[in-house]
Amino acid sequence: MKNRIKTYSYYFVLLFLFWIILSQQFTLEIALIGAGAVGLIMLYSKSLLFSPEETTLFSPGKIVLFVKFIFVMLIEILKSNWQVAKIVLSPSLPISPSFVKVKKTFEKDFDKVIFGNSVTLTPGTLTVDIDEEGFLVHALTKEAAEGLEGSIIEEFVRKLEAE
Amino acid sequence: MIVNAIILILIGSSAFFFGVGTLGLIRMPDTYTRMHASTKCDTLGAGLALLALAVYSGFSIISVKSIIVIAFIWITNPTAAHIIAKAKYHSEKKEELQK
Amino acid sequence: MMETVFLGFIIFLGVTMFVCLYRAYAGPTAADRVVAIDVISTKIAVLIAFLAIQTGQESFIDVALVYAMMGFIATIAVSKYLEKGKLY
Repeated sequence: MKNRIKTYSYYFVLLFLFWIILSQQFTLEIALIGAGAVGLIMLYSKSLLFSPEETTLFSPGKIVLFVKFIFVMLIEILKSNWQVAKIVLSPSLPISPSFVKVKKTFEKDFDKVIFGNSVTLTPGTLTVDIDEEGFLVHALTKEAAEGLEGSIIEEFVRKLEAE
Repeated sequence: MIVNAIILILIGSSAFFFGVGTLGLIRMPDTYTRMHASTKCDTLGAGLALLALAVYSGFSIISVKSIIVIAFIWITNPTAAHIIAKAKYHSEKKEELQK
Repeated sequence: MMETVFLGFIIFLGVTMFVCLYRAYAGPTAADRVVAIDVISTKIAVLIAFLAIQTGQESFIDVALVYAMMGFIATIAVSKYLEKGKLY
């Protein structure tokens, strides 16, 4: 019950902020309509909301860590784009595609999503499938497949998952 | 003046990455490798272009909204790529089983 | 001066969109076509955001947000259809 209240209040604040940004002004009418709309949306998509069992992002310390993680990701994205640009622009197209099975798994669904999306955005790798054993990753070059072991992203997601 | 230079650099690099993504989509030999090129370059290109827009309009509602669009595109683009790759992988596996 | 740069960028985006359309037309499998359409919809979202500045209509940027969402949902629907042969 306590978890539920936490989830609902968190999402209420988030969606209400989004409503205020979209409506561009703040009067009593707008606030009332927004509160009603947000309540209806949360009622309709009850089963889609993340609960504290599925994510650790409800505590302030984890949010700070997540913001740090976003900056690390930005650098990784720049590197990966530079690498893809070099490969595409070179006339000989030096690629050796292969499937790699990464035997790593995370307990919470949200961390799986973050890890999968980060792997897609890091140099030369693309998440294809997720099951109980781990992630199936498509690698563009051999170095990319080897660089996946013990990467900085995995370290961060482990830290996010830790209580 | 400096703001104009920043906008020019952002727009230029965004155009470069969009061009590379498109070129990769045409040149690469199979679906997965095409996805590598298009997903990564499109994500960064869209981010840089909308960031240029946010810098151009200064502190206004347009810049706040374009930052929201950036966040949205950066979350959804890798997810969409993952879903297409998964669909392709599973349909290929099904065809192999039927043979 | 900046308006000219933005106009040039919009034209460049349009040209690359037509190049992507070639992949959607020629792509040997359905997945290639979905990738091409996904790329095009991202580019259109960016283009609409630039049109908002170019025409001075601030509300167009909301259209860009909604268009990005629609492109994502269309991609998911088509991929799900490819994978399962049905949508539900």
